[in-house]
Order: sequence, then structure tokens, then C-alpha cells
Amino acid sequence: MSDKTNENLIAQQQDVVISVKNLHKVYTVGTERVIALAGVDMQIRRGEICCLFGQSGSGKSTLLNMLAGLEKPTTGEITIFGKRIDKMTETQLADFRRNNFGFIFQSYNLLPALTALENVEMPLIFKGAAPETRKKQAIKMLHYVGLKDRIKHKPTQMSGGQQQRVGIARAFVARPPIVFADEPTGNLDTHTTYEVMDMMSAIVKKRNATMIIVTHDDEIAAYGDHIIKIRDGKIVEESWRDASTAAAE
Amino acid sequence: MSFLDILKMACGNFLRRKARTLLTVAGVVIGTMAVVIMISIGQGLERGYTEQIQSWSSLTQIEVHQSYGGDADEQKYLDDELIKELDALEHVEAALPTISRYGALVKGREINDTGIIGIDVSKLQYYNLELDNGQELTPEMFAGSGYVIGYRSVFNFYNPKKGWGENNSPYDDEGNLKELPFDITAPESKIKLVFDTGYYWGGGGSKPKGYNVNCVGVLDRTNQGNYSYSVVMDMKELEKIYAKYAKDAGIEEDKDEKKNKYNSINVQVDDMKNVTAVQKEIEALGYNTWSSTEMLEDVKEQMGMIQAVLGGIGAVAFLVAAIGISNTMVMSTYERTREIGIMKVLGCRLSDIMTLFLLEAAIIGLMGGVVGLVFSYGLSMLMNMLSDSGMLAMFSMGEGIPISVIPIWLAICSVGFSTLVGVISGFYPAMRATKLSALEAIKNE
Repeated sequence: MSDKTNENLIAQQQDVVISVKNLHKVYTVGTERVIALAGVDMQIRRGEICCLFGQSGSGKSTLLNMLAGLEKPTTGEITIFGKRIDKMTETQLADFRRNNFGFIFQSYNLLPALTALENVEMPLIFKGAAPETRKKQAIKMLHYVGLKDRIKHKPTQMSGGQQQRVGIARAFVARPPIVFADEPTGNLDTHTTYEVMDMMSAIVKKRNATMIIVTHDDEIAAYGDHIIKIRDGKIVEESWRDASTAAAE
Repeated sequence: MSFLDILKMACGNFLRRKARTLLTVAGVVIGTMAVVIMISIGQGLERGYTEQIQSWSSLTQIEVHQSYGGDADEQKYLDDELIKELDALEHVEAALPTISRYGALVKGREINDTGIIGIDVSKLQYYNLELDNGQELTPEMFAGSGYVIGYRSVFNFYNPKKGWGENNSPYDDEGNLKELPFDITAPESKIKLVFDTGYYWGGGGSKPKGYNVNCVGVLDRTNQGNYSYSVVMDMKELEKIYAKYAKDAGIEEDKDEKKNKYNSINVQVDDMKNVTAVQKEIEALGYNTWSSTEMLEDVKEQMGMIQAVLGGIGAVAFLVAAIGISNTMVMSTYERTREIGIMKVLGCRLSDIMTLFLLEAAIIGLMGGVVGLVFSYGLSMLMNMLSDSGMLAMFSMGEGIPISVIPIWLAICSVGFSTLVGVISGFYPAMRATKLSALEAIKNE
């Protein structure tokens, strides 16, 4: 191993924001045990767009849920920003999510009773931001995603693409360092899919944030800098698209 | 999340489900009304009894009696010495002695048997005497054999040979108090006072000497207490007249009787709350005492029990309302599972979710309490109006006494209580909301 590769490795490790060690998840369905994850080890670095790529039932969504602290692993360690989130309580996890994570869902998961603006404000409200500040930030974010004219609209008055753009605005408005996206374009047509993906990638790159995308779609996976292919609860292939990261390998 | 944001969110949720919120609130309204009206009736009863006792005798007066059965040498008497002692006690405004004689007012052939009560006119203000015509009674009016007479007593003039007539009842056929039959204060009524009425009953002998007395007023018709069937005059004047009579008739007074200068002594206390303490002090002097405060305390105790029972009946309606709130809120957590899940995923504090649900339940309780209280006031007024017009007379304690009374403490407590019940009812649904799995919640489509 050359000195140069060594240096690169160290730099790489300092930049690691998510680190997973020997992660297992076993569900008990009735009397049957279903193994969803069978020993996953991986690292995700700052600024990366990481794609968890696999067929449905491969365990990729389970992995995402555990990274986001929505589900507890059976065994194994998940460390994010140096904190063991698998050991946190519900209350600590809520605080951790509020301060570090943004979420984008396949089914958008907007609150139907609230307007686009109110939905985008939500994470800021949870953070206790002052009404004026959060309104300003939310409007700015809605402008950015191109929904200037839809600020007062309810989710039901918007198309799927528009709703997902509200979702993106909500995910990024509080400037989280990590954003999780679970099949973000699953309900969108091809044209809108590219629009949404371009938008998400652009914000992540601009902010040097980290994004983890779960998908079964090759074309989405193509947006990733770091692609992790999962099958039957195991990582079967890991690749880096970027030239600089490729050099580090 | 700031409290204001949670409050806004809670209110927003109500507006989304107006019909159900209103129905749940209606339940609390009925519950609140049941409790408030029930207790207000108890309060009305208590007020009625209190006023009744008050009309018999003042609540701040203590009757002082001789205590018998002790050592004969140490027998205490109702005399001037005692008056001095009593006047000196703390919280005592005045010791009010009275003497009483039995006699009759004579008007032509008609007589009016009556007790004649002599009072100390220098303490007139404490005897609670008011004139029916609203004129102020002054000690000067009693000078020169002046007397006042109870309203109902004016009706009691009758001819013993003819017997008691319809005119002698102070009430008409419908049970209302009649106006006075004649002006007793007019000089031409020529009423005299006698102490021996045997002659008028056909007892023979010569016609007894009548003494000149002068009626200066009729006592307030609402006074049904000690003086309502009596003649009241200055005790010095009464003594003078009686002494004349005793001399004329050759009567000698009993010596022991003489030691009791007064027939009764009442003590006027400055405040109702001091009555019991003063009573104890007087008893320590070696006398027996009685006050209507004692009676009132018994009545209050009984009323407390009645109110507790009535309130308990109302509380059943409240319990049903509380279950209604719980039900609504549990339904709400089912409906809002997804919403709660999204909030949790986005990092909303569990305590904020808890607060949100408790607040929604508390608002239902508060709204129900306030509206229920307003309705209760309305119903209470209606009941009292019906009672005044005689329709609910069977429940009424008497004229002008309301059936239902809502004191301010009851108003405040009922709203506070309904809010509290709301919070308690919301507790289980709120716990349920915080325990929802965020992941399950957002999965359900």
C-alpha cells in the first residue's frame, strides 16, 4: 500500500458521516423468522449521494429505516456523526432526527390539512423557530423548488410532481446535513422524475449535504456517487461513480 | 415547538372536524349543566333555610339564659351586673336586656292579648326593629308610653264574647298577608293597656283600669321574629306602668323573681364568625346560651350532604361526557395516525405530541364548561322566574327566595372542573398517540 493511498484512506475516514457495522435485522412473523438484513457493513461520507439499490424485498428500505432511526437493529452498530443511534431512546432519536435529518417519501407524506407553506414550515416549527423567520425560509425554499404560485395550495390541489417538490422543500428547509429519500420518484412519470432528481442532487451538492436514496430504478441509481447494491439482506456490490473517489479505491 | 404553535395546531384540528367536536362539546355542556344546576338547587335550599332562620332571629345574636341546677348560693341572675360583664366582652356590640309582661290592649269592647316587651331604648339600634312604613325608629319616639306593635298583632283585636273572627287572620284566602285593618297609630283609636283580662272574659269584678299607651308605629311585615306578635316599649316606661298597676291591684312581686331584673338578655355580636367564641365565654360566666348560628351550622351540614348527593347525580352526566371526550380523542388518534407518524419522523418531540392531544381534550372540556355555565345561568334564571310566578312554587322555600343559586365559586369551579376532566379524559388518547410507531404510521396508505 502506497503512502498516498494511506493518506487518502485517513482523509476518507475523517469524512465518514455514517458508519454501519455488522448490521442484522430479523423479523418474527408468526412463528417464522424472516431475515431482512444479514450482516451489512458500510460507510457513507459527507457530500455523497448514496444509492441503496435493489429489488423489492432485498432489505434496502429496512436499512434506510434503521439509518434514520425509525427501526431498531437486531444486532450491529450504526454510528452517525460519532453517535450510536442504535442505542438511543425514542426521545433522543426524535431530537436527533429533528436536528440532523430530512426526509423525502415515495408517497410524499404531506399533511393534507395544511398548505404547501405550512407543510414546509413544519420542521422549523418543531425546531421552535420564530414565526417570521420560518415563514421567510419556507417561502424561499418553495421559490427554489419552483412552487412560487402554489404556496397557499393544499396537497390535494397539486399534482404528484408538485407535491414531491413540496416534500423536497420540506426535507431541505431546515438545512439538515443528511437527507433520506425512500423511492422519491416511485409515483412520478419519467419527465418529472428527472426534474425531481436533478433538483435534489443540485441542492445536496450545493450544500455539501449527504443524501441516501433507496431505489430499484437503474436510472435513479445513476444519480448516485456511491451505489450499494443489496440482495437478500446483504451488500452484493459497491461502486463509486465519481473519478476522485474512484481514485481513492 | 412553542406552546402557541401547539395551540394553533390544536385549534386547526377542531375546525377540521367541526361536527364531531360540537357533539362532544355538547356532551360536556350537558354534564356541566347537570352538576351546576344540581348544586345550585342545593345552594338555593341553603340560602332559603338561612334566610328563614335569619327572619326568626338575627344570626349575630346570642340568647343568654339562667343556668339552673347549680349551688343555690352561686345562682347567677340576669341583672345589670351581667349586662356590664357582657358589654365588656370582646366582639360584643351590645348586651340587650328585655323584660316581658303579659297583658292586653283594649279597644272599646275588643281586646288583644299580647306579650309586652320592654327594651333598653338607649341600645335601640341593636334590637333590629324596623317600621313597616319605612320611617326611622328613634329612642325619642318611645318617650311618654310610646310603643310599637308587630304587624300581625294588629289583626288580633277581638271581642271575647263573640270569639275569634275571620278578620283576625292576617292572611287572606289565598294565603297573602293582608293590609292593616285600621290605623292603630291614630290618636282616636283610644287603645289602652290592661294587665288583667279576666273581666272581659266575663270573669266578673270591676272593669280593670286601663293605662294610657300610645302607638308610634307598626313593625316591618317581613319581621316574623321575636317581636312580630308583641308590643314593644321602653322598659322604664313599662316598669312605671306596671308599678302603678301593682300598686292599684295590691300585688307584691316575688323576691326571687326580683333578682332577675330582666326576663331575657340577647347579646349582639359584631360578626357571625365570632358567635361561637362569644357563646363559650358567656357559658364560662355560668349561663346557658342559644344562638341560631348553632342551628344554621346544623342546617349547613345537612345541606352539604344534600348538595353532595345532588352533585353526585350531576356527576354521572359528567362521567358520560368524559367518556365522550376520551372516545372522540381515541378516534382522532386513529384518523390521524399518519399525521402523527409524519410529525414523529420529522422529529417532533413526543412531549409536544402529548401536549397537543391533552390540549385538544382540555379545549373541549373548557368550551363545554363555559357554554354549560352560560346555559346553566339561563336555566337557573328561568327556574327562578317560574318559581316567582308560582309555577314551581312547590319547590320554593318561600316568596322571593330563589330555587337555584349559582355562587361565583360554583361558576369558577365548574369551568375549572370541566377543563380538568377534559385533560384527564385526553390522557389515554395522548399516551396512545405518543406510543404510535412512526414507521407503521407512515406505511399505512
